[in-house]
Amino acid sequence: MSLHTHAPSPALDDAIAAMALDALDASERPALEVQLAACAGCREQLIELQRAVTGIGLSIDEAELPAGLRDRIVSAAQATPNVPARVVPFRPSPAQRETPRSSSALAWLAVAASLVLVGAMSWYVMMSRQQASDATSQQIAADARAITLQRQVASLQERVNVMTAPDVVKVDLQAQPDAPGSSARVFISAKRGVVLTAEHLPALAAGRTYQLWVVTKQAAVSIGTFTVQSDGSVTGVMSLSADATLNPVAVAVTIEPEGGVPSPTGPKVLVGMLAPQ
Amino acid sequence: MQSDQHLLDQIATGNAEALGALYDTHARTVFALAKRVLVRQEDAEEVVQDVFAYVWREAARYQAGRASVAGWLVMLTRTRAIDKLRSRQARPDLNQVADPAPVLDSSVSKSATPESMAVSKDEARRVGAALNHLPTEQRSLIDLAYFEGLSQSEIAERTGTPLGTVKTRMRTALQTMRAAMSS
Repeated sequence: MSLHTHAPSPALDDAIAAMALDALDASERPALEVQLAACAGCREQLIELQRAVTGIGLSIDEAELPAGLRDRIVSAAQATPNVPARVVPFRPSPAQRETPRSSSALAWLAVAASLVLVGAMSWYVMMSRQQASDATSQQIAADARAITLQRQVASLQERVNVMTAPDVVKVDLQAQPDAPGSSARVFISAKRGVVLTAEHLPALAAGRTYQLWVVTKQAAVSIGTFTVQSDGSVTGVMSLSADATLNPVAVAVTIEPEGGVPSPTGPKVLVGMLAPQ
Repeated sequence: MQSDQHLLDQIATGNAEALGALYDTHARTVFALAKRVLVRQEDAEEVVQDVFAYVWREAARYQAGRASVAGWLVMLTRTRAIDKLRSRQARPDLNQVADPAPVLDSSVSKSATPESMAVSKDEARRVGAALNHLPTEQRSLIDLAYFEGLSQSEIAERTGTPLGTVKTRMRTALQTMRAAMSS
């Protein structure tokens, strides 16, 4: 794929179409994200295809609705206000303030008013606490979403940074017999680090971990250990030690004891060779 | 009839009847889409409730811009339906601790923008017509991606079709629908 421009490229068009349908394989996504970040024409094309995808959902034949569903939805909404309730402060009217009373009646009224006031204040305090609690919960949720987004952006920037490095080298790793069906792609930049994307790696037994290696002419140098999501995929950025940049010839993933090991001991599950320099 | 945007404004102020009115306008499509993905009636009903509960909570945040409310609802519905489908299909692994991240960060429609949801009824009708006239091999592939949430590799594996062929057919099909939409 070429950066910055939208030169005719069936491979790029394929990837954009797949992303529009959310069908792009995870291993191909980082490269396309880089391309999209640099290519306005590609983004426009993606939006146009996504509009067609939206049209698929909108063109579906309408279905008869289940009885009672509307009532359940509206009732649930009524039971869970989506805006904070407004508290109207109580102010006695001038007539109430100025009406003369007997001293006995006034005393009873004062007691009754006090009781009402205490009750109202208790209710007000309880509601205020509830509203404060709701507002706090919403704020916490919003903050959590913001932090998640910030992390995602930072992670993406890290990946883009490595993948656009002048010295970046791409290595496709091939599945080995211990992990048939798996695949991975690694971007290595001596200056900026390593981006790893892998798919379909099998779940490991307790106490085991995956470990990524750069194999140089001298030794296998550990880049780090990693775990995969429940679907066997992983995407991440790792740093690269200086000794891993000396004459690298291959990249490999092995299964090792939890915490990793200084030299590979377990089965190789993915291996990729660097092109001779 | 009040406009969708007006209804959303009303919903944002806590008007549950406005939510009911929005339901009256769009729920048949939302339910149909959820049922197409999930098949089971009770699952589809849950998705419809999730979608309208989300609208209730988030109406104040919704920025229409160039998007259409119908497009937004369809995107929400498909996202939730596919997530539900995947969680239903997942086989629990006792050695793995459940990971809540996928629930919070669905892979479906991550890249959707307001512009991508701005589709008129006429445009949708043309897309539907184009979809119905696609060659069978292209149509089935679109169905697997859109209604089952399969990736290109998964489609290739499921259908026994070479991955390159899947990619080409998917691109061709979508480009055909896009062309029909604007014709």
